Amino acid sequence: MQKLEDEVKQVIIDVLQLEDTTINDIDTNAALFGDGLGLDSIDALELGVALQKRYGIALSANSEETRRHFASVKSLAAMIASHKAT
Amino acid sequence: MTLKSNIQFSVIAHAAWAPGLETEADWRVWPNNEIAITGNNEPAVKAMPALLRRRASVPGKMALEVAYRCLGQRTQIPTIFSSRHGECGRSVDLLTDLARDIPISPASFSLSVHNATAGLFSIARHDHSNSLALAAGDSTIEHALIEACGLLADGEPAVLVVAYDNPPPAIFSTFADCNEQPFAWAWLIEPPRDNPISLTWSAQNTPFLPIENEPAGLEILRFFIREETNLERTSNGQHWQWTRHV
Repeated sequence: MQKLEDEVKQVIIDVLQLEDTTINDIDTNAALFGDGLGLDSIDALELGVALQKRYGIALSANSEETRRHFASVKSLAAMIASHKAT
Repeated sequence: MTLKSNIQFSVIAHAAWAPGLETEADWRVWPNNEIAITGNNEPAVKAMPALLRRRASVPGKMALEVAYRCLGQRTQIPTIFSSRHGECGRSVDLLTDLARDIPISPASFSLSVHNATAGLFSIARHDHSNSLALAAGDSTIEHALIEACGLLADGEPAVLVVAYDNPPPAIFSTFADCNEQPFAWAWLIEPPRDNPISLTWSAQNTPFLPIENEPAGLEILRFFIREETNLERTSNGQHWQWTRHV
């Protein structure tokens, strides 16, 4: 799981062009949006497109479930892992 | 009889940036062709928070760099961002992705509009003053100054005019009418006082211009830096006469 979590962090850094940020700067459990990493709604959409391109995961933009998946790196990695298992 | 119109203003601060010409000293020798615009590096725009800066395109970063440098700590100054090609590069990338059935980037889409840079500048500085984004072909800068003088006439004490461009994508190369180069400069202008600059114009048929010509933005910048007294340009059916009064 650590490996997948690090991979998700790298995707976030690359896709959202977070210059000067490394995977060690991102707390696996911290909130991605709002107070945590400081990402916004455009970043959420951008990340959604990246998950679709990279893992073939299609998410509904407004569902409560998507909000839960996007809470942290930990929840995103768990969602990707369960998608890979199906 | 030819109808002529006229505006007058004074430039009280200015800044310029282009790849290979990043300091004031570089620009002082540039008009003598001792140094040229070369390479494709982009400005650091250190004045802007990184979370916003990452959103700016290359031409956007050039515009932001000179806007920050020229304004300094001043706030509540109306700003006119003028660019002939603006975010054209983004639009072409997005349309290319669409044509290939590749999901398009929401971040890029949200910033593919002409006032994207104006928006980032306003958000970053928490400055809600008047902001405009303007394009008018080869006469973009003349129209930006007309707009700026309109704001001065309405009572604004000063206006920031930013002129910037990047060569448009290669797909448009057959439409090129000048030797496109990346550049950005900014003038903080006020109502005319000592040694003002005036711009006079009248309708005139536009002759064919060879594409070796510099972009208008660099012609006008050269006139300004060299403190020349006269620059005449003909474009978009207008004859433009720039004069520095000494």
